[in-house]
Amino acid sequence: MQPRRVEILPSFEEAYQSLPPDIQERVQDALAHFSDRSADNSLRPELKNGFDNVWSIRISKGYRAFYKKLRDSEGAIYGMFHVGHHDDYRALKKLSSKVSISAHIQSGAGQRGHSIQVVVKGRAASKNSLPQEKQTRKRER
Amino acid sequence: MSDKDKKSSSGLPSQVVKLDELFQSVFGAAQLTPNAEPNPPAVAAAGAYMQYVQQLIQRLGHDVQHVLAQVRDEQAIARMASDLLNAENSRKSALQRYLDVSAPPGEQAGWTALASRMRQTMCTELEAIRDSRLRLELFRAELINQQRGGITARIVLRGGTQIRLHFGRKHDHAA
Repeated sequence: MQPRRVEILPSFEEAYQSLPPDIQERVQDALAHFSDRSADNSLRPELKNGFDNVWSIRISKGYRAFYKKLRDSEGAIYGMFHVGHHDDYRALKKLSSKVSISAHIQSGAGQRGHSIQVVVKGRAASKNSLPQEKQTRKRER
Repeated sequence: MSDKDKKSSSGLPSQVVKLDELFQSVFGAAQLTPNAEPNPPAVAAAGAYMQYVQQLIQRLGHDVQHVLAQVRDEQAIARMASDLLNAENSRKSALQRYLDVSAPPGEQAGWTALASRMRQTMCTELEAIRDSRLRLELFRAELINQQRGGITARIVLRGGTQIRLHFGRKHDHAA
């Protein structure tokens, strides 16, 4: 399998410079894997619906690199032109069909609002540790 | 100006229902009496929220189209995108505890079904803000590439020659 030809455009570099160092490291790893075609399952290249020939690969849970797929006489060129925040709300939409969740909502006198405990597959999970994230990390290893 | 036409400082339309009260009542009832029929006020409020999200999508679409057609200042576009990112983070923070809750698959009726529809609508709301920001960021990227031109680096050349990038923090990368 031929490696991908990946071109870094000025806009990508500018966006890269504004990222935290740990995300920058992830970007470098992701680009290396993308060009090597060595981790497409975790990079999850996907065409962005509603955008003109824009594709994305996964850098981390909240970051994506965006590219356009172009062609020349030698074949495909992947023009990386942006990297930035991208929460995957589709994962949240799909969550209910993939896992069994029960929630306990308590409302006490003098207590404003509700406290919510989410139980995922028999284990309590904090609201910041979605099962989708756990599954993704496992796949990446 | 009616409530529906009001804009927040971020340029987004104001919400027309008290969402937190609505979410608490719907998600609370979905746990206590999951299969009971939702009461009409809750159904009406949920409908108003869905209408609000549709209005938000239209407003954002209109505003983004206006920017793409009229604005060529990349710094101004960056500020608008930043406003949208802040709006998205703020809404996500407010909605997170409801987004984390859903009913087991195949058992959705009554309150549970209404809660599920609202959860989908919350995701649609967040997606609309995110995609609008993304459109601005991608448009800004096009402007930068037009103005600065060329390719910064090529990672892999077909034929086996590989160039590994080492990005620096202060534009001191080398291929």
